Amino acid sequence: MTVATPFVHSDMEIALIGEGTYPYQFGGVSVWCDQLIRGLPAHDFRVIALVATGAEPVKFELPENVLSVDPVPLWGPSPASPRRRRGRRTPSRQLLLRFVEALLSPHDEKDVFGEALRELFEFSKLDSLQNLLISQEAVEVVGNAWREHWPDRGVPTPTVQDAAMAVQVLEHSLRPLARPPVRADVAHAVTNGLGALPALACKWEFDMPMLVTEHGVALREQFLHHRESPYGWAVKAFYLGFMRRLCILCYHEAQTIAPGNVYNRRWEERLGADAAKVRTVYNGVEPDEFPAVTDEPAVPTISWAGRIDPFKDLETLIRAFATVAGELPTARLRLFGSAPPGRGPYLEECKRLVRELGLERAVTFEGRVEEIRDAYGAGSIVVLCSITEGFPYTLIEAMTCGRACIGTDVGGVSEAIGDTGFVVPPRDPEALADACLTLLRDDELRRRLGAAARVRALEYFTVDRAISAYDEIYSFLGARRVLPTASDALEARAAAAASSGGKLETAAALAGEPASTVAFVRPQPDLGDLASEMLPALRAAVAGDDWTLAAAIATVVAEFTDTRAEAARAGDRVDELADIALEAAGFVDDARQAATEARRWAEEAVSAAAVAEQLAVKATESAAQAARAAQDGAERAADAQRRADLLGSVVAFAHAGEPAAWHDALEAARRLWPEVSEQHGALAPLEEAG
Amino acid sequence: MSAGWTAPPEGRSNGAVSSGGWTTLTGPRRKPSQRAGLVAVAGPVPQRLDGLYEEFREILESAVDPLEIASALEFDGMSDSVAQKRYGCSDVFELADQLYGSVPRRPADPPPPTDPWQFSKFRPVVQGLLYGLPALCFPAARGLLVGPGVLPMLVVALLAAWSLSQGLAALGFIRVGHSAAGEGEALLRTGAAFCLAAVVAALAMCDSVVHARLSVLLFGAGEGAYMLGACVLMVLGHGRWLFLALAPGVAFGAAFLALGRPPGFAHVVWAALAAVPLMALISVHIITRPKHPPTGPLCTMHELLASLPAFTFGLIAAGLLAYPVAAGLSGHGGINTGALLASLPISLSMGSAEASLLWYRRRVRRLLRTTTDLTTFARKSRAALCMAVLQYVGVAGALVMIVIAVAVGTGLVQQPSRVELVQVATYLALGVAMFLALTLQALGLRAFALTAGAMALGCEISLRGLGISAQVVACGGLLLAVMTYAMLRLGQALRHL
Repeated sequence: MTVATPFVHSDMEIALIGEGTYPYQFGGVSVWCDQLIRGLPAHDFRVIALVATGAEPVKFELPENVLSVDPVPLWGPSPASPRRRRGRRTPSRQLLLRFVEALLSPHDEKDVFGEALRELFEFSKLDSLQNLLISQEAVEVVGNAWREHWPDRGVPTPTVQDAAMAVQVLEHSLRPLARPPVRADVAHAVTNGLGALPALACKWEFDMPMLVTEHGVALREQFLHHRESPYGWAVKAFYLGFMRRLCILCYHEAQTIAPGNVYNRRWEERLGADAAKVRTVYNGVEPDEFPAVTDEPAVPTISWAGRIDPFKDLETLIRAFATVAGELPTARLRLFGSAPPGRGPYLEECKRLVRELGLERAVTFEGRVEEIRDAYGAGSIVVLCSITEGFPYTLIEAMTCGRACIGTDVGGVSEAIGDTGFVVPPRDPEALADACLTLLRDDELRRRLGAAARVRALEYFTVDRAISAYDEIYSFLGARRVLPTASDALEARAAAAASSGGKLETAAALAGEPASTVAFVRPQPDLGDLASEMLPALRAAVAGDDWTLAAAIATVVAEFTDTRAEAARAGDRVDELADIALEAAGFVDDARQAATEARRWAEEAVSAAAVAEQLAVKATESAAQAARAAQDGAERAADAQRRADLLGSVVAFAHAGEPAAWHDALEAARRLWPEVSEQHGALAPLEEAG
Repeated sequence: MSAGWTAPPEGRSNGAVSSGGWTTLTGPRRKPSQRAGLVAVAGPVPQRLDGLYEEFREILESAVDPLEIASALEFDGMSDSVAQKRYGCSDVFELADQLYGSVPRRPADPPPPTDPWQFSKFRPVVQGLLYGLPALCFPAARGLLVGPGVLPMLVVALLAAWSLSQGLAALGFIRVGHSAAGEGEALLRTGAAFCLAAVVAALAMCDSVVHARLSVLLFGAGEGAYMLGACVLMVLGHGRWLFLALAPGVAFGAAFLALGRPPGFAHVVWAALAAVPLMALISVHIITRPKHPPTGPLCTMHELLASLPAFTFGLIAAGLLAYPVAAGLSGHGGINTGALLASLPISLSMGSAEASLLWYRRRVRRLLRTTTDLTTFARKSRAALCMAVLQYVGVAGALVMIVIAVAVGTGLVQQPSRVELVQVATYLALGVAMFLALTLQALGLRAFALTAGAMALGCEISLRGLGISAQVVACGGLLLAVMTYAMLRLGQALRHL
């Protein structure tokens, strides 16, 4: 098992492949690509963009590390065909037959489909794939294959138009495969499906490692898109069958799969993705753009922000608010956002519901707001009540602002909120009202959850974190190394604890690891050596103030060493060991949270010193006094930093199994930091553990 | 605290509990479902799923995969926890599997596709008049078209304006179909101005050689302006404005001819003729007036290249149609009376050509939707092509006969000789060949139509010393070639999507 280690940055070339996104279209994924490229200036990028016609203008200013942009039109003029090699006759009908048979086979035989697709790729290097597919022969092959596989009853027999359209759709879909592949160190597809075809070509041609990122699940989106399909049933079945097999193949061929959230992961694993190579990398926000909001509105206020759309289910929110207003007559509901074109009637419907419920004075439709963070600050709590979501930015932005959130149990909402808010079933006004009342009535709970939400958002959902994760993935893939799964164990524990009350199997599923890995009972003869090897890395991380890395390493070391000892004694007591492992993880997290608190205090002290300094400069008549204040502030900052460092050492030594060093550090922490130990009880579990 | 929603943590910071959705991931990881085939064997719908069946009936019956149902359920707010609590399934995927397996596939018929080739009964007449009425302006303007170099100047104007308007129309259709509202208008507006400048430049170059009078130069420029304006208005669907533009020229010109060309009336008629291109340009100016400032590039290289075949075809077609008349008038092989007689009815028949093409495309599209066998489709679609050609030949032939009868009856020409009848028939064959070439172009087969047309024009020019024989060989050969090619290629289904 490879373990996470501090990785070494190295310049690499990345082939970044998107579909309908960067740099030709604005949108969430495009912005994400832009952030990724700008965030990794040490790497160079060759962008391959699947576009509609090729006539689209570039809409992003390209940074210097974008070496090239290669648009691949799916629907525009035909791509240039390679010159046919003399004397070579490709058995094209056989190729077509094999491919169509693989597509229409009742089983998802990814190997058969993969071989057939690869044959087409090899063919495209020698001859025109377009001419092969846009041919009477291809229409005949599809028509004949349909006749062979078609069910006897229920579904209308495919027509000539169906066969011709199937062939046409296939030709357009396979254009990205026929483009000459780009040589780079890593092929990174930012979607599955057609967008992953160039990555497959890169892998097959140059043996490049392949990475697939999914912000939404490509296949799921295709299914939803084809609910109102422009095609008849036969073509729809043919195309979606192709997409399904292609997605499965890409999951299989990719060295690493990086979904944007655990919710997506369910679909990926359902489609056969190997959990061991799935690494969730959350999207993030820029913390500077969402500073903590400390003030609360004067009256209990629920804030909602977003696009006014039936999928956001504002009716449920308004009905829930009617209950809230009945209990808290001063409460208000503020709805920020506008209705996109075509959604005006829905907005009117919501307004009518407000009038029907007699809530006109308490519910306000605020329209579009200039700075979205103002919308979060306007509420005591922030609510998202959608019936469908991916991984909503609204929530992680509100959490970054320090607002306690309530969301519906759809998409990635529950993993975003974790234990820092409430998750209720969708379309359940009573449950939503209960949650709102609980938070609005309990000031202490609301503020505590708001603070926890900010900590969680800063820890998991920042742009920097996402970029670092990709830097690490690139580095491992570029070096042809297996991506570590140790941090996955940490992620699994955190996610499992946040969502399932500590169920071991859930943690395993979320981590993409078999349960035995999370429980650490898999035979690992070198774990003892591993712990000692990791100790210097832990110390370096603490010295470098990289608390996230330190916590991750400490967790791994503690869990491995503890579990190894237990495993040796207990044999096959898997469940018990699992509990111990999770317990260890829990106490490390407690310590880490305390350390984070201390660091935050240190930062606040530094801020105070800066303010004092400013005052000193401005107040010339009391310069000496200001200087003393500044010095005092600086000392407080240094003191707080020492405390933070010390506590970090406590954590490190505790987990590294160095009792003497741990004891000394603990005593020092007690002397320097009595108030923390009293208030947070952070040292008690350390002492018990020791 | 109600059940079903997440409680904040008590004690350990990471010990929170979420709604049950996550726990559904705990079971052994399943492989992708092994489907029994394109359509799973349907069993009875379990009673507990009745409500879902009713709510999602349409989706369930038309689903192609259990995952399609899973995505629809999730999209409607179904979570794993709800699937567990309400339906006893481990997750949404299992629920979807059950629904897929228990509901037979009965996909609803897709809505009938919109018919892009629908046209009113009057359209062929309207189009025919728009193509044919300008011809009336030429005899009325005879007093202007005197002196040296008249024919070369008119031929240059025709060739330049026709080919450029074909290219501009193609460019306009590309832009109108693929860009935001207003961008097509902007491109056509600017494109028409550029093309008009090119026509005037071509005329000026020709004038520097043949030293034609200013009136000839202006008439040629007016001819070009009208054709380009007509092109823009027809691409944008405002062809009716052309009647307004044509009205003064046609009315005064017809009256002038009917009254026996009274000399005192000539200047009024010429002013009315000058109003035709001016009004066409004013109409273009009004229709294409920009409503928003332009956001993107006016035209891309890709669009220009895409319009090149249409431009080339326009040039070749103009050459083929003008050469028999122009060559005869300029003394090569004698005046081609047959071509002169047939040119007006062939122009008028363009409305019918468009109608026949639209009929053919609708007919073949219907065959695509109703035929399940490729051989049957090929046979029936070829029959439809022959039918469309016969429709066009019938209308064009009738118009030719009417024009000849009127010309003979009014004493404009004598009873046509056999040679002149051959000339008429050859020109009619050229009209049919142009109809087929346009059909091939409309169905994406540009290269053959261009090559065959260019070869026919080259043949006609190089064999001009042979007189009518050259025309028979060129036009007959062209018709045979495009007909054979069309019969072969247009029997393929992919051409008609």
